Amino acid sequence: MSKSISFDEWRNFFLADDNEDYIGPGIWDPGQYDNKASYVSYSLTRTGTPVFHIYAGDYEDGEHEFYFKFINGARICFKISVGTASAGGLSIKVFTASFHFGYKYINGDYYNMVTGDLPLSVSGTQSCYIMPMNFLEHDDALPSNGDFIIFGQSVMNDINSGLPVSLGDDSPNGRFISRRLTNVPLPDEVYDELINGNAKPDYPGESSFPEGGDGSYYAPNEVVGWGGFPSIQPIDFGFTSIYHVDKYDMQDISQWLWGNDFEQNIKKNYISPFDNIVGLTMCCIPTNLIETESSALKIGNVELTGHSFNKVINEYVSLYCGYIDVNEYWQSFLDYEANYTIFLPYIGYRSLKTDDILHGRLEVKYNIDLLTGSAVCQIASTSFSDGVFRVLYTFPCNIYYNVAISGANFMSMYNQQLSSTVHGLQSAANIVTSAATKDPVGVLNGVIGAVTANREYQTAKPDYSRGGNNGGNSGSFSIRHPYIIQSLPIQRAPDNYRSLQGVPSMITRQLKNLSGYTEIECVVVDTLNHCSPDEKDAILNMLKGGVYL
Amino acid sequence: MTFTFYANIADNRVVDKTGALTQLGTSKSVIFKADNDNGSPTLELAYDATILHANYAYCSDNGYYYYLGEPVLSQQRIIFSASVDLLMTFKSEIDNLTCIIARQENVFNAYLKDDRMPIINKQDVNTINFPSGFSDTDSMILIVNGG
Repeated sequence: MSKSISFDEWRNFFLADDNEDYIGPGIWDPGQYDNKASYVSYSLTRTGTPVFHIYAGDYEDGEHEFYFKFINGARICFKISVGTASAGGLSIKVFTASFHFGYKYINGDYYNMVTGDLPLSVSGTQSCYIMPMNFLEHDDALPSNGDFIIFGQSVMNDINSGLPVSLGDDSPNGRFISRRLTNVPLPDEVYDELINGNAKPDYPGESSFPEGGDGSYYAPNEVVGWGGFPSIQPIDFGFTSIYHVDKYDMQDISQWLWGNDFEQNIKKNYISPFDNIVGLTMCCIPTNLIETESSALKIGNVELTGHSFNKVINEYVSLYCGYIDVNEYWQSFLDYEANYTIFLPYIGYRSLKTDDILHGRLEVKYNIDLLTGSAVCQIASTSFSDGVFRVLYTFPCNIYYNVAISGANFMSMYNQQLSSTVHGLQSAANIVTSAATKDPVGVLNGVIGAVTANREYQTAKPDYSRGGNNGGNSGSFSIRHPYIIQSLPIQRAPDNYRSLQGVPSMITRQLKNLSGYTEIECVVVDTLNHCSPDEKDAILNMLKGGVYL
Repeated sequence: MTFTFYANIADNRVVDKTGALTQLGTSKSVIFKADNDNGSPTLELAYDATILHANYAYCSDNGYYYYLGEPVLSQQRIIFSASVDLLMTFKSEIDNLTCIIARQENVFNAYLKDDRMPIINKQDVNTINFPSGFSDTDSMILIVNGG
């Protein structure tokens, strides 16, 4: 079975961030782009079509090999032949022969996805572009099966100017546009490695075959997007309002509440506006995320006139903290022995499963309710292998640090924190008591209790109280941006480790196709027709113990 | 029996030692004793200074390659103890074996766990910040009934 690379799949390579522009042998000097340098580069045209640009400035005659390494580990390779020709009395470099454009898979074995011959008459431009034919979208006759064309600088200029370009314009008047280059289907396993990002060119291996059992061998992997908000905002009911205030606003309110006007005080005692203050809280939501409109302050049915306040019109706020690309360090099993912990403001430290996040993009987002301070922190990962976005973790928290504005408020906050502290002290006392009575279980329980109490204290997330009583929120005194802690194992492989004892392979191969140190897992030695049984056993043992091929 | 004698510099685990052999000489009158007292074959031939330093031999009569031990000189004769090099003798058939490869120098899968890999008992701890988060500047939120 085989498959062809589609245009969109090609294009996806180019759209990925963090591709490495160039890797490989040759006479490449990435610091030079003048007329004397030779280079291979890639870019997107104005139509978003990927295009490779090969410039043969100072190539030495002969074959040259280049390859780009893309973010998913795939490599796109060029293998070109360059020769010298004369034109107008000048010695110029030309591409003289066919070239390969494909995927370097194992130890120099090419799986050509596109094959064809370059036109010879590239003299004068010394530049060559290659791109999928699909960019010629105006030509209905053109196929969209991933075939490629090659063309020169003048054609590229037309493309970038938005001019139509057609096939069949083969080398007239110095222009050249190639014959069609056929997109060659790839073996299934190569296609899978290339497209699904499983390609590990430095560590070639074969896929395991899912044989045995009655499974469907189909594991759907679907996008799980960010969580949203309720469709209803309680502040729209009119019972409750939220104001984004500053200290001057609060000073105005306090002066109004505790003013000396006798008549006003009589009214205020009667309608008690203070009872209608649900709460005052501090938070560190970026102010640009809080949508407000200018409005008078109304507390209950009393309006504070003469001062404009910022009334919140959108109760729900999303705080996106950006992303971190979590890349493999060793490009080996060691990467998956690493530990990852994330610190989340108002939540604390949480462990992340390495398999969930490695070789992917990690994103953090808080959904916040401004009325209660309740928030949900979501952690999503987009695997570089399959590109599927998934929210994998959610943690609830409360981001409000409630401010005491009455004696009752203060006592409530004090009691809450005192309770947490006493819990910790009790645990500590249990440790002492248990230690004195030589009760190790009691000591352990005490330690656990103390740690738990301490953690509870440090990450205390008190529920919002509409009456204004609240507890301190230590999150406000901690780090306010998320970060990850990556603990990588460190290998200390001695020199020549691979050549002296190899590394795990688990690949089925005929031995004549291998070289170097080899240990076999198993083999049927019946084909050793000229050996005695003892000799077969001895050979098998030697192959298992390690030989050099 | 006819033996060709070599100086071999290859590791015993090398299957095809052809490139590591330097031919020292050939003798067509080697007395081959399949088993001596130690259970190993011996080769006995007339003294030849060039062959004295051989450590490897090939018997064209049976197609086997042999490792040679230290020579013993006796009455102008050389006696080598020998042991069969099965890898070289059957190298063609071994090459044609199709095996599941446990470990390999060049064709491997680095994502398979390697229990032999030395890992030091210490980890490299790094911290990576997300680009943004909550603000360093606090805001105040007033919540009231009514409005």
